[in-house]
Amino acid sequence: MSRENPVYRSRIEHYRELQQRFSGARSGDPAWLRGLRDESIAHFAERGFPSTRLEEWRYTNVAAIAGSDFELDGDATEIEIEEASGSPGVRSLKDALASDADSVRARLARAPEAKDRSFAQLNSAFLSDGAVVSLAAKEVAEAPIQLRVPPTRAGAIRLPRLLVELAPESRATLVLVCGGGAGLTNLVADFEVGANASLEIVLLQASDEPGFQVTNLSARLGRDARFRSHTLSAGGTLVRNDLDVVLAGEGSECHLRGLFLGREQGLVDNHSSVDHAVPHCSSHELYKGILADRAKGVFRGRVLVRPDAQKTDATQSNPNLLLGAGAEIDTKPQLEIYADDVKCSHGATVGQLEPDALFYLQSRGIGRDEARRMLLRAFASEILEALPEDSARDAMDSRLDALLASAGDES
Amino acid sequence: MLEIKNLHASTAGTPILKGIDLSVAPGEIHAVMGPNGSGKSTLANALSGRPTTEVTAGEILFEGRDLTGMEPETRACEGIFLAFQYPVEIPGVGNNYFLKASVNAVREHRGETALDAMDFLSLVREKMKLVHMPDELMNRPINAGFSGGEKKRNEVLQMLLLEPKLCILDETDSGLDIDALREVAEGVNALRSPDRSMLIITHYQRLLDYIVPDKVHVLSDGRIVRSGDKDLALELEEKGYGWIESELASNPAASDARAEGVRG
Repeated sequence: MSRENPVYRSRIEHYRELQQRFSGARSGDPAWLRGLRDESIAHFAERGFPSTRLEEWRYTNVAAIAGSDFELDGDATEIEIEEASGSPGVRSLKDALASDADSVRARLARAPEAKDRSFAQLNSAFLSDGAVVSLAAKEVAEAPIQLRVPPTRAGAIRLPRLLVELAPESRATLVLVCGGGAGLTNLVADFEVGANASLEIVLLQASDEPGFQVTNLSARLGRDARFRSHTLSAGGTLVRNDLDVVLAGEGSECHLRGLFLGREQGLVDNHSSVDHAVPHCSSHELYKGILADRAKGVFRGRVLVRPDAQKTDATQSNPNLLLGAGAEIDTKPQLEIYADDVKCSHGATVGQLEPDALFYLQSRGIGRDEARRMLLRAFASEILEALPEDSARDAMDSRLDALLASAGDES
Repeated sequence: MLEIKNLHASTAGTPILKGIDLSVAPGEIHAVMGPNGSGKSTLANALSGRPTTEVTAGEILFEGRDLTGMEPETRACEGIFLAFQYPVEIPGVGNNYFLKASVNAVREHRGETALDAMDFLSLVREKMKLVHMPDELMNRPINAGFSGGEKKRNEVLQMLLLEPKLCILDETDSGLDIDALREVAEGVNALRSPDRSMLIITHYQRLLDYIVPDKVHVLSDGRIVRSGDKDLALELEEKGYGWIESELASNPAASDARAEGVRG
C-alpha cells in the first residue's frame, strides 16, 4: 500500500468532497473553526492514509480502511453523555461551541497539533461535536463520568472529539465506551491534568462486528498530577490506539494499562509514548495481550527521558499469551534516555498457557475448558482487578469467554 | 483397586517404563522406591494422565476400568489423586477459589450438591488444622511464593478435601525437614481407611517411618526389580540403591522372576 497508489488518491478526493459538503452546511460556524477544518483536510490530503513504510505503521496495514469510501454516520461526531454523570462540567462539544466558542478555541490550541497524524487530521477536518469535560479547581466528580461513542454502521465513519480539562486539585474518573459497530470510529481525545489533580480513564473498545477503531489520545500532566489509563480492546477487525503522555510538571506520574484480546483475523495495535520532560516523574506501563486464532497484536512503547528529567522512574512491561498457532505479536519497547540519574526498565514476554498449570488444575478435577478459563482470567486479572468500575470488567470478562471458545482446543 | 499390567510409557519419545506390573488392594499402602531416573515420577504421571507421559503399552485398571486415554480431570473425579513432587505455582488464581472449584467439581461428578461458600470455609478450616497450614495461605494465589513445606502441605490439604480412593504421593517428603515431615505424614495418616489405597513414591526411607507401608517395591530402569514388606525399605536404606543394581547386574534374570512373584 502506498499513498502514491492512485486508488488511495481517489479516496482522499472522497474525503475532501465529504469535508466540503460538511463544512458548507456549517457556514454559520466561526471563521477560525472553518479555517481549522480546511487546514486539517489539507494536511490529511497531503499525507494520505499511513503506509506500512512508515515506522509507526510498520505492522499495521490500513488498506482496508484506505480502500473504502466511508460516509458520515448521521451527525458522525457526537458523544453521548450518560445522564447519571450529571457533573456540571460535562457537556457536548456542540453546546460548548455554541455558548463559549472562544474558550473551546483556546482549549484546542493547547492540544498537540499532530500534523503528522493522518487520522487525527481527518478527525479535525470534521470538528464539530463530541464532549467537553472541565472540572473546576478542587472539584471532585464522585461518580465515574460515563461517555459513549455510538456504534458505527457498516460503511460509515464517526469522528468524535473529546476535550478534558482538570483544574488544579480536582479529581475525576471517566469511562469512555467506543461502541464499535461495523464502520470506522476515528476518535481524538485530549486530557489536561492540572497541578495535583488526578484523572483516571477507561477506554473500552469491545465489538462484535468487523469494524475499525482508531484513536489518538494525548495527555499533559502538571506538577504532581496523576493520570491512570486503562485501555481495553476486544473484537473488531482493526484497532489502533495512539496514547501520548507528556509529564510536564515535576512530581507527576502516570500509569498506563491495557488489556487487548484478538480473535479470528483481528488486529490490535497499541502505540504509546511517554515524554519525561522534567525531573522526579514516574511512568508505569503494563499492557497485556491475549491473541487467538490468527489474530495479531502490536505493542510499541516509547519512553523518552529528556536531559533534565533526572530521578525519572519508568517501567514498562508487555506480557502476551498466544493461543493459536497462527496468532502473532510484534512488541517493541523503546527507551530513549538522555539523563543519567534515572531508573528505567522494560520487558516483554510471549508465551502460551502453561501446560503444567493446566494439568495441575485438571488433576484436581477441574475440566479442561474451565481450567483454561481460570488461567486466562488469572493472566488478565492484573488489569481487570485494577479497573475503577465494574461494567468494563464485565464486558471484558465476556470477551475472554468468547475468545476461549474461539481458540477452541488449539492451545 | 489398582491393577497395572505390563505398563510401558515414554516421555518425549524416550521409553521410561518398561513393563510395570503392580496390584494394590483396597486399604493397602504401597511404597515405590528407586534411584533418580528409575521411572518413579513417570509412573505417577502415567497414573494421573499427565499429557507429557505417553502410555505406549499395557493397561492401568482402576476399579476394573482402564484409565489410559481418560482425561486427567475425569481420573481425579473418579478418585485418583496425585500429590505433586513439584506443586505448580499459579499466580492470579486464588488458592481459596481453586480449592472450592476443585471440591465442587468432584462433588458434582459424584452426584453431590455443590458446597456453598460457608460450608466450604468450615470444611477447609477443619482440614487445614490437620496439616498445620496457616489461614493466610488460603488468600494467596495457588502456591505462589509458598515455601517448599507450605506447598507440600497444600498438596495434602487438597487430598484431605477431595477424599480420593487412590492417593499417589510423588516424593511428598523431599525437601521437608523432620518436623514438617511429621506434620505432613499426620495429614496423610488421617486419610488411612480400609477402602482407600495409597501409592507412596519416595527416594528416602524416612517417610516410611511415619506412613508404614504394607508393601515396598523397588523400581530400576523402568521395572519393578524387587518387592517385599517394609523391611525391604530399611535394607535398601542400609545398603543403598547400588546394592540392588549390582545384584541385578550379576543376575539379570532374577529381576523378572521377582517381579512376577508380586503379581496379583
